[in-house]
Amino acid sequence: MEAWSSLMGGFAAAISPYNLMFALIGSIAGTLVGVLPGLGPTAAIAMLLPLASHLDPAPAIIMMAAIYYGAMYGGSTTSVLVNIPGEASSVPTAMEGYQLNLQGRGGPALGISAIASFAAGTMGVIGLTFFAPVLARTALAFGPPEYFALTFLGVSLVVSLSGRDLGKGLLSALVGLLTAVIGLDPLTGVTRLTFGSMELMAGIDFVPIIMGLFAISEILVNAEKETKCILEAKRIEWLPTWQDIKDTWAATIRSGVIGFLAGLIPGCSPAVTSFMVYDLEKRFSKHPEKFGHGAIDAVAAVEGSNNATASGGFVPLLAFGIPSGPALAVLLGGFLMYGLQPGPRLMQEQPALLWTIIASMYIGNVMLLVLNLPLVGLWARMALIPFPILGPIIAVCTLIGAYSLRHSFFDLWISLLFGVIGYLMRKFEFPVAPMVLATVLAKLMETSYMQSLVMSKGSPLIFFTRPISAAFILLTLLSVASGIWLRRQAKVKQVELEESDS
Amino acid sequence: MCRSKWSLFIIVCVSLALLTGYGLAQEKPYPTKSVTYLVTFDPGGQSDREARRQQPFLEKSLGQKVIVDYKVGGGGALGWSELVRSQPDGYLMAGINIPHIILQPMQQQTGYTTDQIIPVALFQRTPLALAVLKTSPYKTIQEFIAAAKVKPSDISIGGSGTFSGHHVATLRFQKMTGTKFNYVPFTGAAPQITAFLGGHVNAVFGNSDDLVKYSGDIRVLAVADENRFFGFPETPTFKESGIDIVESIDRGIGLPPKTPDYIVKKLEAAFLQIAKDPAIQEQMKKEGFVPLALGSQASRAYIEKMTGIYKDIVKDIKK
Amino acid sequence: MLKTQRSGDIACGAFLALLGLAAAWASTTIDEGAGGHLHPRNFPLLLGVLLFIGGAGLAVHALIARTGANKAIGWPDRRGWKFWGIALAALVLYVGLSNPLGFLICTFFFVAGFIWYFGRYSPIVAVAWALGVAAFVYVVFIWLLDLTLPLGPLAFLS
Repeated sequence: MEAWSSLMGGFAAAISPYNLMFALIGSIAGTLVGVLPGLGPTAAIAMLLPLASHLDPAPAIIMMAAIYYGAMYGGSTTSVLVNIPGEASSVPTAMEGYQLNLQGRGGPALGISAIASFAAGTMGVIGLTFFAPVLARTALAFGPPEYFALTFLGVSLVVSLSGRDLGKGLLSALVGLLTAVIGLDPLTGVTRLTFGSMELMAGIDFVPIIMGLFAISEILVNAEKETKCILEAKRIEWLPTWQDIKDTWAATIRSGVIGFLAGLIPGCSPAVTSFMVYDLEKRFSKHPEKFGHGAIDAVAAVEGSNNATASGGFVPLLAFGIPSGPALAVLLGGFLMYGLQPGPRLMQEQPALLWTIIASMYIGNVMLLVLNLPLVGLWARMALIPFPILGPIIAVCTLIGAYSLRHSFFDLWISLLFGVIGYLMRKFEFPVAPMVLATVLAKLMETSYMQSLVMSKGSPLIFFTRPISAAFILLTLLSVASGIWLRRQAKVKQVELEESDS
Repeated sequence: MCRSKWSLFIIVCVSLALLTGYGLAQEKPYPTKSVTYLVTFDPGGQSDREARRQQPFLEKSLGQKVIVDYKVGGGGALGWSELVRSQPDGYLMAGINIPHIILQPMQQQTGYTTDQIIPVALFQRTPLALAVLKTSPYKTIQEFIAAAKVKPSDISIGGSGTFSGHHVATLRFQKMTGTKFNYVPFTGAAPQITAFLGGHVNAVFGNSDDLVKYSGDIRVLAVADENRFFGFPETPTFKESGIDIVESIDRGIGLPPKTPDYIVKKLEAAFLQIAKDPAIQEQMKKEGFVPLALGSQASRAYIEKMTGIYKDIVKDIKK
Repeated sequence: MLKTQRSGDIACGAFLALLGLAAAWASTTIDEGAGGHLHPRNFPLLLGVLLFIGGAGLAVHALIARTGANKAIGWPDRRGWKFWGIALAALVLYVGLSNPLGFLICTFFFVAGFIWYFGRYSPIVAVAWALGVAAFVYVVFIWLLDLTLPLGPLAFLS
């Protein structure tokens, strides 16, 4: 119960008007950068660093942390409304949420994602409060072989993301992997497949790819169809009902637990978690046929896992000073700016500060819920804007977002190129999700494989002799086998249906 | 008369020429608009934090806005190749890292060469140090070397990338002690240290500022610097143990080739003023950096010296 | 040409096989780096070969099994292609001109043009929307988020 009394002390400090104000500023800024595709918390936190240096550490870090988890709330908005996932981890949200929007249920989808974000995010903070000391060492249990086994499991999700045609899904994943190889090999620094181009040497980032595959191809498709308005449904719902919440609460809790645990592993990209959660929900759902055509429990699960992962990421950060991603690296920079080094020593020397920050995360999540729920109706009405007006606004926001990432026009050309590729993939019926997943996973997969072989001096047995890695590989094999079996079952059913139809 | 007319003409011509010549060499006022400070690594990293620290002071001494901008990729190579291709007017400068700017062009075509970059100043260094976990059986550098001699290639040393300071330090260490280690490269300092703390590698060559953060969990065996490092005053240098390795990551600022001297001087003065500020030096030390204040000439000499050392080592890797 | 999914599969399969072949060939020119167990060449080479096999497999399967032979690809008609091409051209112009002219000016013309052409709105409505969007870009991206965007002749606004 020591954590409990410390937490109460933290609340006492976090509730001061001054600290509340900065939590609110951070929440608003986080929602804003989360909504804008391409922009993320990394840029926003980096931008506020010099500003924050005029503040005391507590309000400054409260604000930067709020930007970080606040951005996870905004991430679903454009995915649901206009089929543009702002980052890789929202791709499954777009796959289901956009379908819901087309059916006139964009409002409920957004509302449910706000509620799931709040519930799972808060679960993550509870985990951070009470289990951080016990679970912190998991962050260190993952060496290169474990990471390779994890990515192996990630790639196996392609099987379930491939839609009807597994072969095309695999090809799509291969092209994604190949795209990610372009540039400098992260371990040896050797240039690969760059053909002497300086721009290619920097590699192809996956955000411009996602922008192209989703946003640009969406604009092209709607332009050719002369769409008047993307929302054609007659009956439109603006807000989630109790039934929606009843349908999704179990998925939210499951994803909260998984998301938090995945957040403990510093090298595990949130995209992997959200695809994994999506896959799990699909397998254990009572209505798997709804997936791909607007499953609201999938939206809840994916958005919930994003937020729980964000909370979980604070465990290795506060316990060891290990950042799980670029945004937390900048946040770590914020700590260092005040001469504070997160780690066991900080826990002993400045417990009050840490507990204030943790307490502020409970408050921040409540603020974000209050901030985002009323916005849902407003956002959902955006889908009523005629396409000829909405289209160019989408294009401008995504392209500027893609530019802001690396300040590179080359990235914008990549976006357009993948816009055309995405368009062709729709026409030739290639699934897009495996390509996104593959580009996200490729680097970690290859580097961890090579590192493992260096560690074992060339013996691949290292993947099987280490318990965590062996468990993941076993899980992968099980998942692939059951996935193919389920696929076969579904096919048999479909054939039966078609035969009974005729 | 005729002659004096001509001489007058010549005098006029010469003085005109001198005047215009002088006019050409005349320093244009600098800076008259905002200056871009290019950071070639991710926001939040050491280079970025240093740039952000310097930004307000630079703005004060230059009297213009300083914009911190990022060009991240290729371990910095992307930003540096942009630097050497940009206008030499002093409005774009980039953070430079040694040994990166020496080793990258030695490895392959990277779009720039070391001598294209005009170094303005070097303002901080992070000496490398060899560290093991507190729980490790190796108490001293001698024990570590002895163990490596018993079982060559069995002890693993983690570092960041190949053709990097960490890799080169490992190779120099092997060469000088007649040992062989299993060098495991990582994609950056964060994964390197994480794997080290998790016990997935036996030892690391790490940057001093990274190691200072974990001084509770680790034992530093030797520091690759001329003098003992203030963060680990008890730890001997490699030199004290008779191994002549001095390896560090040095950070500074560079300009495109052909930048006029007066601009270099102006920026050099601005950066050195910041680098010599005792308050800033104190901050740097607290974060585990060794403050430096090398001017343009001294930086160039240092880069040339290190280039000579690295040439032979790179030959060894490449063969 | 390419009217059915079968012909589409054949074409895509052949293209991907060629891409795989090209990637595999390009991978063989990759420097082998520092040696040891680090082979930067292997992964792209493997991907290239797999892509070649997979692409060829797709094409051959469609050729022999005639899958998707009675399933038409949803290509647009001539009018659809025209709109498609104009939308793409507008995007290309936007990206191409944003460097010299800056994002604000390009955003204005792109949005105004798009709304006017695709929405058949009066030029006044289009210009009003375009001004609004450009102002939004300025306020949010440049003023609030402090991004350094190229602004061309309007550079004084940054």
